[in-house]
Amino acid sequence: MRKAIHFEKATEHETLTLQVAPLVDIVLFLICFFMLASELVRSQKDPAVELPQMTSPQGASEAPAEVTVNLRADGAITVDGRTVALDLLPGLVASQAAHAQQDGRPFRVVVRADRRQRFAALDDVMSACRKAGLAQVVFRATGEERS
Amino acid sequence: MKFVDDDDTSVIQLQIIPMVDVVFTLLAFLVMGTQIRALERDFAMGYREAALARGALAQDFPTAVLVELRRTPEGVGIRIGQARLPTDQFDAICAKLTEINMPGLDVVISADPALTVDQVARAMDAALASPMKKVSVSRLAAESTKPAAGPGPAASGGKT
Repeated sequence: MRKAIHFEKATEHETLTLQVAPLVDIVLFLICFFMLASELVRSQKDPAVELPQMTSPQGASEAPAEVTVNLRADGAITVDGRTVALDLLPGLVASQAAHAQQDGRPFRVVVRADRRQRFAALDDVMSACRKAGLAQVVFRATGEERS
Repeated sequence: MKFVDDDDTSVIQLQIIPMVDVVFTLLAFLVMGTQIRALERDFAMGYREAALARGALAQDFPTAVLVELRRTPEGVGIRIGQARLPTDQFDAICAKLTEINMPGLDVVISADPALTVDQVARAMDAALASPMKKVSVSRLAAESTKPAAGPGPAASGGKT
């Protein structure tokens, strides 16, 4: 007796659907991540620095600068996450200024000085900037604008 | 008649992956929120060498108003030109500069190096709140940091 050949019924193809909710989650997460990363990279802020409060309406909104000098409460000077000796600061600022001039970009130096630090230390930093040929620096402070 | 089948009980499952996504998104959002909350502001600040600051006032027609900040046992001694202001009263700087009201003149804040950045910033803030916006800072000259014997013209404010 011949055996019957059994063929399996072809399986139905599962319909592929686009999951919108996880997609939105991931897109939002990526946006947040890139915004946060770009903010941290641009600002060169040292979180150890506690800024003084200034409420005068003369201040402008925070803008990124080519060089941000952080002066900590313990006297350490950091630029771009690295500790820099005071005597090396004029050379560093001057070289950055030269690069900016070559590229035709405006050049700004922001000083973020800790509020507990002595003025003498801030004066040393500003003096170093002056030695590098800058007549003006930008002083960073925190606080709401007084109305 | 059709009745809904009560036996169809769907199984409720905790979806871990979307939950982790949402938690991460919230975490990133909160971190960004704290960054944004501590808004910082920029103040363009001129700088004068101590000797230059004194020179600006030594001329027959001075081009700057000198605000002297001196550290005293009582607090921060403030003097504008020959006028002595109450100790630690930074708002008095704004009032005095408003009284002078010459926006064309520079205001030079000459600060004792022993003062803190916060104290100098408060003086700058008060000066910038006045009509005289051209504010710069300098270090109080070494000979001027000695405490004054009594009321009289400022050591670096008078003619030399």
